[in-house]
Amino acid sequence: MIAAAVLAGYATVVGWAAPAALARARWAHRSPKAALALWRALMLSFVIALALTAYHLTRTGQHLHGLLGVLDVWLGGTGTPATERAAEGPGLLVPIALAAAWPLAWFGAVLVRSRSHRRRHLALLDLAGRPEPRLHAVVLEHDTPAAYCLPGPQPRVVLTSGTLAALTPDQLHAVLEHERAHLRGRHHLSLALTEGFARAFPGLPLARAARTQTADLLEMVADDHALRSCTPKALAAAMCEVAAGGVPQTALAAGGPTVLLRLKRLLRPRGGLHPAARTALLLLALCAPALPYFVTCGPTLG
Amino acid sequence: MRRLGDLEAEIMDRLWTWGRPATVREIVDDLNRKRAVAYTTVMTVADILYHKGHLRREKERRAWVYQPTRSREAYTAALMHDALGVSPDRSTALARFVEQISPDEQEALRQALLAIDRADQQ
Repeated sequence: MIAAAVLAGYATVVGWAAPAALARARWAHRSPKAALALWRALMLSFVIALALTAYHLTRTGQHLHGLLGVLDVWLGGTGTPATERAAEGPGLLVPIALAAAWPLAWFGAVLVRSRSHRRRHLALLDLAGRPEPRLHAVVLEHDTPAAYCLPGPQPRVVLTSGTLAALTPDQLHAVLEHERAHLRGRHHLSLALTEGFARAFPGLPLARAARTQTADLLEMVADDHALRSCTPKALAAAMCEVAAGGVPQTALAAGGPTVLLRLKRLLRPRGGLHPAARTALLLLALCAPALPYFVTCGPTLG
Repeated sequence: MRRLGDLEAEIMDRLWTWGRPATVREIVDDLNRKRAVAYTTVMTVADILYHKGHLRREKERRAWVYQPTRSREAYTAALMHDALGVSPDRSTALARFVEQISPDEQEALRQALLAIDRADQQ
């Protein structure tokens, strides 16, 4: 029972408290990749903590492993037989796999849906668009500046003629590099993962925050990639031209549009994080999912 | 090796550009100015486009004449709506360069850029 309570507490922290803190973290925009790793680690931790909670609720009797077992020994607890103090065996993977199957099924459903959506879009695009081999892009005759990419087995970068008219060659290069970074990094898979997680756990603050934050951070990753071969000014100006050309058609996300955050980053660069800080964050991302195991199921040392 | 999809696009492109119904013969003759394409290939692809609903056809005297069911602008509008509009699964299907923003924010952006330009010149 104690183990189940501790795990439920951990799941609560990961699912409710941690997302708010991470979403506010200022360093995240300086190292979007580390922040992305941490969001994924939180999602994984949540699923593992949930699985182990359910597992411990179904177990009866004295049953204390891991750090809890250590505490128990220190406090003079003698009720737990020594055989019950060894680390949990591989049988533990069953509840974890069962718990992970639920968000993974949603991930699969999102993948299938978005793939068929993209296929429909691609069929029309290839009929009505004009291939521009020199840009490795497809151009749509439309005055509204817009640029997007279509991931998949036959990826496409799409621009409107309005975009071509509004941008200088430098700015155009920046836009193309940004979109190619999305395609090369297979960012649509990360988006589908957080979307699947959000549908698996509707209303969970972690799920909501992971979805919006991942989308924002992936844009920043693509921006950073583009900056390897273009100036911040060219990218920023391209963003302004494309964002300002159209009429807003979607309700704005809470906290203001991502483009403003991205611009602030470009125009007032604060440099990447110190390597030591990045390493620490990646270690944290590795440890967070393992923590519930070591606290309640790992070997009882000492 | 060109894909069938390329030929589909080329046929649609010609019919949209001409703006009038045309026979397979006319399309083949025009395509053959650039490269050799067999009459039967074009006929097959036109038939595919008809069955997909992109072309309609009528018998004129003894030959079928084809024309697009919708204008190129209609296709473009549908694509733009899909890419920019509100759709529950758009976010995972397509990745947009930037989201559209309100006029106030557009003005703020322009001011910010102007300020940088001025700072650069000084």
